[in-house]
Amino acid sequence: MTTVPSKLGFQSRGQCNADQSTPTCTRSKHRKGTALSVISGNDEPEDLDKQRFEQLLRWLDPDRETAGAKYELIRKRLIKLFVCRGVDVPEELADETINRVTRKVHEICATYVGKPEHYFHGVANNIHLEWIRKKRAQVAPPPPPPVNEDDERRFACLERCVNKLPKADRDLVLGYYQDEKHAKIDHRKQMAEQMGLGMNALRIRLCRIRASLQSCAEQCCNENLTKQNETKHHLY
Amino acid sequence: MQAETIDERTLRKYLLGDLSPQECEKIEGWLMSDDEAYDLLVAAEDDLIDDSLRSKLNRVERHQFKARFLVAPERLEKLDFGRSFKRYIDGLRPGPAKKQSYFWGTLTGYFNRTPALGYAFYTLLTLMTVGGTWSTFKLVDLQRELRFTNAQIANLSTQRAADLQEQSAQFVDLSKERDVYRFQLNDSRSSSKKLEAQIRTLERTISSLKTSSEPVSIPVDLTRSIPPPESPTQMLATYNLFPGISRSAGTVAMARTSSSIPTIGIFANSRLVQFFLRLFIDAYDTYRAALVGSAGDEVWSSGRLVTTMVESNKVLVVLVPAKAFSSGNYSFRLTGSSSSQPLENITSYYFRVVSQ
Repeated sequence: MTTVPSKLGFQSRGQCNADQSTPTCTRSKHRKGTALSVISGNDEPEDLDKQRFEQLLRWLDPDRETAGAKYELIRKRLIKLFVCRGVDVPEELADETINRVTRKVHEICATYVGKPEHYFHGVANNIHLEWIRKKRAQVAPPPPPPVNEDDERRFACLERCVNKLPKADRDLVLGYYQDEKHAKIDHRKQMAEQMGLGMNALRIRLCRIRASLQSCAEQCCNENLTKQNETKHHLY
Repeated sequence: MQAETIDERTLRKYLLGDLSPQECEKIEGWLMSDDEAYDLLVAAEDDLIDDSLRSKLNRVERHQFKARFLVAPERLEKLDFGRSFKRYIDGLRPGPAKKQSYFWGTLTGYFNRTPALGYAFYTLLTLMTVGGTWSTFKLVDLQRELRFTNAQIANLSTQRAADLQEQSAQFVDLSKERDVYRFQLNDSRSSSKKLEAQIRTLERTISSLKTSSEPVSIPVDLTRSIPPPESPTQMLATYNLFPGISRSAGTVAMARTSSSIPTIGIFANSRLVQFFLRLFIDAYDTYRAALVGSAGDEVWSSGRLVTTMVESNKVLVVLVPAKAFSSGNYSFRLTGSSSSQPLENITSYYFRVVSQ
């Protein structure tokens, strides 16, 4: 068994065996004691869990690769959906939604008509309602304000990450975000025309580059922090 | 995939929690099923964060942004990143070439939409470039030709000026030559005078000889034969001759009969025979006397003769070697010329020679 940062992208939640001719994936069990475990209260045997997860994948798509990609996409969308609803623990609610669908999949897979995504959406609505009820009871404290001590470090990391971008992407990002107001809108339209893209396609491309920059900058900051801590540890 | 797409404004309202539950349901359905929905929603989040950082949100939006949008920790991280990103972008100054690239960008975009027009434009541009290049080369060629022609004209002018200068120099040379000839003429005249003096001396000698027993020459008489000199040791014989022809009715005829032709005798030991050819009119600068035999052949000649005054008469003095003569009829054919005019026939002097 090896941990695979694969196309399936299960490394955060499960493991895939890349040594076999047909790769197999397993789910890791959710952390206990979280808000979700309180909601679901589920504690099924591990074998049954694995079996149902396999069934879920087959329901999503007969091809295992495609099913894995769909699974990741659905989870990503569920997280975004909960974020947009103001949930402070969107990943947990997304995972709980998936868990609940997984437990039901053997009942619905034969009879359900329509896209699986819509079924997930319905379950997510229920999970969200449950979360709201629980949250009212708990009166959770508001999130702490962001600490901006790392601004300089983050800025330096960002500069480094921008420089690492391919030239075309760098020019695109710098051009896309430079102007303001009407000039910005006109400029973006012109850029889209120049590239032979629609505005939405351009927006998507830019948002992906920006996300990659953010990810790169965060990774850089984390590495810097780790090095700093190690230095301190050696000093003391 | 859902056919209907959600516009940016609606997405923004959704992110700020400003939509009804039905509208939210619709957007979430779109989010779950549309391939582009997730990315467009993330892009809308980025724009909202950027607007917040640039203080472009109104009061209500600001409240919704803080109370609703920033609840999720991932959005707080995005806000931090957005702050750094804004700082980075603001640090960049737009270059002056941006407007130009905007123009070309717009043009390119337009041609991308209408490829036929684009091809036509680029073809036209190519033709203009080729034509422009050709015109430039042609212009350069014409300028070169013009320069060449100007140079030729300049050369011709220089050559003409040189020719004029050369002609002037030749003219000067001719003038000098003329002066030389004039000087030579004067010199010749002085020589003639000296010769005249010598002749006088000779005449005096002859006169003195006449007074002696042995005359050396017999003057030519027009009416009778002149007896030859008697002395066999005579070296120089002298004779006077008068023009012996006259013009009548356009033909040249002998003015005298055979019996009236003067006869001169030349001794065998004579070396020179001197003739005084009498001139009634001296109208030429120089004269030429040719000795013509009885067959009409020119036996001897002398040119550049000038007149000399002998006893108030103008004569031409001609010295002929005695051996040029044999017994028979002779004549001197006299021609004259002035300046550079050709020779003109003047008259003839007929005489008969008797060798002794």
